[in-house]
Amino acid sequence: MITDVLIRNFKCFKSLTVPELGRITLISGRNNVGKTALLEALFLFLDHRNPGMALTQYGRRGVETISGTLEAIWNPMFCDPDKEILISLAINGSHKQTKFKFNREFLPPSPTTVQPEERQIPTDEEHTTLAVDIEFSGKSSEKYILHNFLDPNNNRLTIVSKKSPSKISLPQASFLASKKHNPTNEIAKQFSNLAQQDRENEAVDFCKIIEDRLKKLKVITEGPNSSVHGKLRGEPSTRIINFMGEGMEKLLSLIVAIAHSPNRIILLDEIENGLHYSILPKIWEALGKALRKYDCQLITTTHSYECLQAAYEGLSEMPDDFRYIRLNRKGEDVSAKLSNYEMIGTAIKTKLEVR
Amino acid sequence: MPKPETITHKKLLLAEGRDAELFLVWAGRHFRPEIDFQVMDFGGIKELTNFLKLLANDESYDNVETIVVARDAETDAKAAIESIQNSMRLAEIPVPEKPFEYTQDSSLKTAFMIFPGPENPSGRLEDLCLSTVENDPLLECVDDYLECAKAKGEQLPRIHKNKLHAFLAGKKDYAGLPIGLASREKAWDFEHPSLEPFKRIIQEM
Repeated sequence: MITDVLIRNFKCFKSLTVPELGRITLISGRNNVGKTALLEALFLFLDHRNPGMALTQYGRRGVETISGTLEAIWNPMFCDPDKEILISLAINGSHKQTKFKFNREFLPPSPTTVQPEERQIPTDEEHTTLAVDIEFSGKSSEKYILHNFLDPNNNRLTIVSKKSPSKISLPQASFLASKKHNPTNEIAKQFSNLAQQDRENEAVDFCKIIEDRLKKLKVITEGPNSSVHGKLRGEPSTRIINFMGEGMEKLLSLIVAIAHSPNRIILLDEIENGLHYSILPKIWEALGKALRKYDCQLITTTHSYECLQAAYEGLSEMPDDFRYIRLNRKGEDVSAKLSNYEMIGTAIKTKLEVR
Repeated sequence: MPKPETITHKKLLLAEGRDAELFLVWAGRHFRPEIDFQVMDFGGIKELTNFLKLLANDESYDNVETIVVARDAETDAKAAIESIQNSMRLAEIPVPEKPFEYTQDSSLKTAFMIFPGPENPSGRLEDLCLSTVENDPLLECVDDYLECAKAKGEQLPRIHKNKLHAFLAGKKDYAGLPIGLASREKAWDFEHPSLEPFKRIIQEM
């Protein structure tokens, strides 16, 4: 579980400290203050061995391609591209940090296999290129540097490292974006994991909060595509879950992300989207129980006071697990203000604005 | 849902409950006609610490210059004073040594007021309001009425409320009004000497 966060020079954050995250952390703040960026920083840290980490992040914002140089790809990540990004987290009591910085003199490794027509003319000069160096450090022995660059042979983002980072384990994470539907194949894969363990009813029960006629969920594969279908009481055939509404899709994505592997970190943008306010308390209650059961952590954002009220109502049995973070901007600086469960109770009782 | 309240002024007057909030809105307007202050309801006394901490999380909190807290003495003014001081300490704002006295650090000036006033070892806002109309002949009728009610076997554990509402019930313009709305309708004499300590604190905000 992530408990403390320090971010420097990432997107809109010159420097941001977020203390005391809980099993369930709800983040709010005005538009453009950096709520989604905070989730993205956390995911970037956990996803930093993925060569396409930057493009994956932009894809969640609806930017599917960025053409051109590595600089064009990575520049939007930096508050100031001349300085390094620092993302430092306390995870299960252990401090780990990742730094990202441009390296303009990176010497890519020679390709092991080169087709004759692609063979370069040998010269005495070494051809350097631009890379983003990613320096990870944890405990004294946990250190490595990765280099993320555009491979000139195939123009694809690549990662290389002198030392294999595979032995150092980081928590698994899922990022559920607000504007983008989560891939049906991925949901189907995670649901299949549940089904193999005969636990698909956990997902059914969770989704019944929205649709009490739901009888069954199952994976249907057609060619390369798999998707989860739902069977409603009184209906002759199944329907793909995405056609049952945004709320159903969201709940299913959430529960399979939590239940298919324990100790996972779920980053969810705008939790209330697609969900009617009246069921939000039940969703929070069920989410809280599932997160505890599978020892997962949820870090999510909201703009909604009703959502906050629902969290207060739904999480009454687990107040110590809840944290509320409000991001405030003053000039160019963003700060995180922490409230606990009791404080949120007072805010609701006194109708105080905390978003 | 009504719009949640946010900090809009540099001078904050925090009241315990809706009645005290409205009383201080109208008393405050009388004492400080420029109305450059904001009155907020902090709920109950158990909420004060959290409320003060929440204020500090507001994006406009850095602009706040003065915070004044007001609550009832209830049965023990000394305990009420200690309770407010403790909340201020926990919220890490300057803690005045006595009620009706300002203290300040480099950025914030604070005070607290106890109803019905500095000289009373116990009491409530209702007692303060009634003290401002102490010369009203209707109070004799109110006392007689409540004595009669007691004689008929009525238990009146919150006599301050019975007295205040019996008084308002006997007035043409105020019958049925809660204490806050009665304040708006000028049921109380805001120039009465019993309000002097409150007037001074509000004028010095």
